Amino acid sequence: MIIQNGYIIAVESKDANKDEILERLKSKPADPDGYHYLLNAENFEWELVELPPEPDPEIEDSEALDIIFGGAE
Amino acid sequence: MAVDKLVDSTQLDADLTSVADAIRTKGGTSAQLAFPADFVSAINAISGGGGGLEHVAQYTTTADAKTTGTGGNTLDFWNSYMQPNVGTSEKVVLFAIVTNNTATGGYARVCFLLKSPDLVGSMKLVRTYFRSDSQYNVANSTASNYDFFTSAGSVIDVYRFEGDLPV
Repeated sequence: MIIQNGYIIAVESKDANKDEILERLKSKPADPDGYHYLLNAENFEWELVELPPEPDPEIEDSEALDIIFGGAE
Repeated sequence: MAVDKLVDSTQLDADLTSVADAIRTKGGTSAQLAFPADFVSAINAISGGGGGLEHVAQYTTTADAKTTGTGGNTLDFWNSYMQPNVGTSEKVVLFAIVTNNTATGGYARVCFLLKSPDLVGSMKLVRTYFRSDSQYNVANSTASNYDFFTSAGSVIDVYRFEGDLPV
């Protein structure tokens, strides 16, 4: 199980709680603007959490062109 | 077929289930396996040791990667949680296939390759393949934020490949 800041980010297939978590995933509420629901690692309940600010992508022009045109390594 | 032994069906079912579970774990699948044909097929589909591609982990995301505080920062995810799967070999590449990704922006499905630039350093995302509808777009992905986004429910199958990077 992958946990960040008290919330479950991902569950591994070998995890004992996998089935329970995937079942909870089916009932994940839709995220409202500016917030998202995260699964509390303690009680497996969805919690509404404010979104962090968008990161600055800091992409160089050449990198952007590489992405667009499928650039070389 | 001669019937010459009595068996405890509960015990037999349990034993077969344990074998099936081992096959599913090794093969990275949760599919139902019917005995014996599916067992045989599944075992044959598992690559052997000594090189080649080995399935090492399967993760299902429970949050949108873009909104978890790691942004689209896949590198954090990989460095923190998947690098232990790399081991100590010089020529190890992790290869991941992402399915069930419904993130918007054309990142319908993504697979990508990573390798360790040195034996103990952090991993480097070297290639990302974005699949949108009918085509693959290849991107050089040494930066972080635009690497890829995954929606909650995405399934990330991780494979370990030992050898030269095949791209």
